[in-house]
Amino acid sequence: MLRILLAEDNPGDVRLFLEALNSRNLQFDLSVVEDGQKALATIASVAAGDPAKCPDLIVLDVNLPKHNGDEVLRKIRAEPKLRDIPVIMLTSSESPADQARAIDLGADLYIRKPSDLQELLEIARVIEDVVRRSRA
Amino acid sequence: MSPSPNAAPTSLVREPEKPELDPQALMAMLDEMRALRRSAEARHSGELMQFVYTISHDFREPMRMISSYSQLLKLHYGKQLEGDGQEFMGYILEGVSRMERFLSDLVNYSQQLRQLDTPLVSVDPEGVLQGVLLTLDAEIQKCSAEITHDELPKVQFDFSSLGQIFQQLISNALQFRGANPPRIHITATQANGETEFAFRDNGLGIESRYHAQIFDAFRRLHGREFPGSGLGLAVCRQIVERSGGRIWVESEPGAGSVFRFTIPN
Repeated sequence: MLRILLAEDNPGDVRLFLEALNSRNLQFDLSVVEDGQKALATIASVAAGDPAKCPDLIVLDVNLPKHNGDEVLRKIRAEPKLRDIPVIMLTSSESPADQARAIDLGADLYIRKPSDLQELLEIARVIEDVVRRSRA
Repeated sequence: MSPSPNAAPTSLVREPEKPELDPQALMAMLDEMRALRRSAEARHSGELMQFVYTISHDFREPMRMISSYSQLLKLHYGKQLEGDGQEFMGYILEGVSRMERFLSDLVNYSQQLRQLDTPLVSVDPEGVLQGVLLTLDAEIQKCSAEITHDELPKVQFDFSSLGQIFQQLISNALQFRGANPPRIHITATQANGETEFAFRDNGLGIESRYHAQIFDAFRRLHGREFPGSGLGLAVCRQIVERSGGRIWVESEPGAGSVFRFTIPN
């Protein structure tokens, strides 16, 4: 059972992410928070609580309301219990500078939100890869 | 002694003294004017670039939604959409695809408006050509095109910019082909401190009254018959003129075209 935490404010993009996961026939448990504040609160409660409830994967939209993806990423990497969880950043932009910064802050991957079905399926494949690698 | 009848009358009004024209001061003035103009151009093109970037960025998100969800609809409900439904879906998807292409062309065009800061390097046009032929391989195979070239000397330029020009000219030649499979021949000559490239094709040809306007942005000659945003040649012109060169076409309907552009040495 793959526990995934997604921080994304656009419901359309949340649903696309769900479709991507469904296309791989993965068993997953998806939690969604729609802004940076809720994301930080969830992370704090996970860090304080049962390690068995820790997510296996965290996916962050770079442009979140209240606290952006970068801030949430920093918080995650500052928590010893969460430091090793794979984090994927989602972005609508293509800026290589943003990508470099995200990797520097500790993201495992930086991917563009899908523009079509093909990109959606590619994201699904990438997610599976990241999780498999982190479990190895 | 009386004044000679041809002598000019003594002026009663003192003319203002003309300032000495100091060549150095004049040159300094000209330099300053050039610098002012360059910075005004840079500001203007910077603003335009920012405007285009903002527009394309803000359009991208709703377009992603339309594109992704119409494809998902087709995937999951396509079979239930009979006849008309399928046709409607096709128009939606095609419309989105055209919007995406246009936006991407627009961003590309606006990037070319920027002053080129990257230093010039020695570029091998034959290497550029190989890359472009690979990129266009599917289209080349599809229309059985034959693309040949004479020896192309190295030039001082930017690899990817030269690739853009090559790709646009070849792609146009493939697209605007006549009844026969496209034959494209590329040559280069060096004279007067510049290298002139020539792309000759056996395609439809272009009426002389359109020879200038095809290099303007958003001017398309063929309407819906041939897809395209009308920006390709405008981008080529931006690239070429920005580095001090020229681009033009020699062509007649039914007699193919020769597109020429120069790069200063």
